[in-house]
Amino acid sequence: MKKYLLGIVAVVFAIGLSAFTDAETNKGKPFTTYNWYAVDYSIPGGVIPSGAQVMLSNKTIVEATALDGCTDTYNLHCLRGFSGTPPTFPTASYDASTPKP
Amino acid sequence: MIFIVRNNCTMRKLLTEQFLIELIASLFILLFLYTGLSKLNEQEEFQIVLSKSPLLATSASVLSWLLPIIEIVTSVLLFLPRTRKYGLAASMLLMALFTLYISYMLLFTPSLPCSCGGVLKQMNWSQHLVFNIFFLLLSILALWLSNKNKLFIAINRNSRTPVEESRH
Repeated sequence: MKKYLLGIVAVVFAIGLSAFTDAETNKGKPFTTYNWYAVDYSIPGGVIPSGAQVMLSNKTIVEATALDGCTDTYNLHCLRGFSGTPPTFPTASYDASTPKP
Repeated sequence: MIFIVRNNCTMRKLLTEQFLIELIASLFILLFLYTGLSKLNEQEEFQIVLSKSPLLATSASVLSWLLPIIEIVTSVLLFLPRTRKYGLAASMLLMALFTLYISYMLLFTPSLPCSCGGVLKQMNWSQHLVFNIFFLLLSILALWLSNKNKLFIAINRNSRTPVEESRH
């Protein structure tokens, strides 16, 4: 039994830590529905063109990902999500008020 | 005639080394079980992160299941004394692979996505590299000690010349 003691302690800690981290990560996270629009990066800074199509509508932030619909570089966010339809599109994709996926 | 090892210093050293091996194995059990379970808990997110990597994007869906399973199996190997040396070898191999991957990403990738599971997400890539190198060295130490002790025990079992002799 002694030879298993350290191992058992490690197992207990590992399971406890992973459960605790998982609980903390998901604690009180409300699900918000976002509508997603493609960002056009042919213009420096990126813009969401007027009349842009809603790429993924009524998908929660958990379901939609920044890569959906992206065919270019993997490291740029090519979708921007808005809860509801915004009255005017931002002129830069890094607008501070733009929620990032 | 009974041969008794009376070299207390050697025995004490052996026990210390054994304890060190068990301690290192336990650290690896903690590390791999924690990260493996975290990755399984957030499997979809992990798959997305892997798909952002230039090296692993094509096999992201397979790796997102395979990696945590390998980590958990390695933990089991480390837990059982009989298979511990195989667990240490697997740990060393895993840490070497992870270290190589992080080094490659740091050297050749302009934009780095987030990687690990759980608390390790708090580290940046450079910190994670140092962390991995540390654990890689630990695994090498444990494996070396494990092989060294086996040799010592084998020598004392097989030798016809006692370390110290006592008659009963």
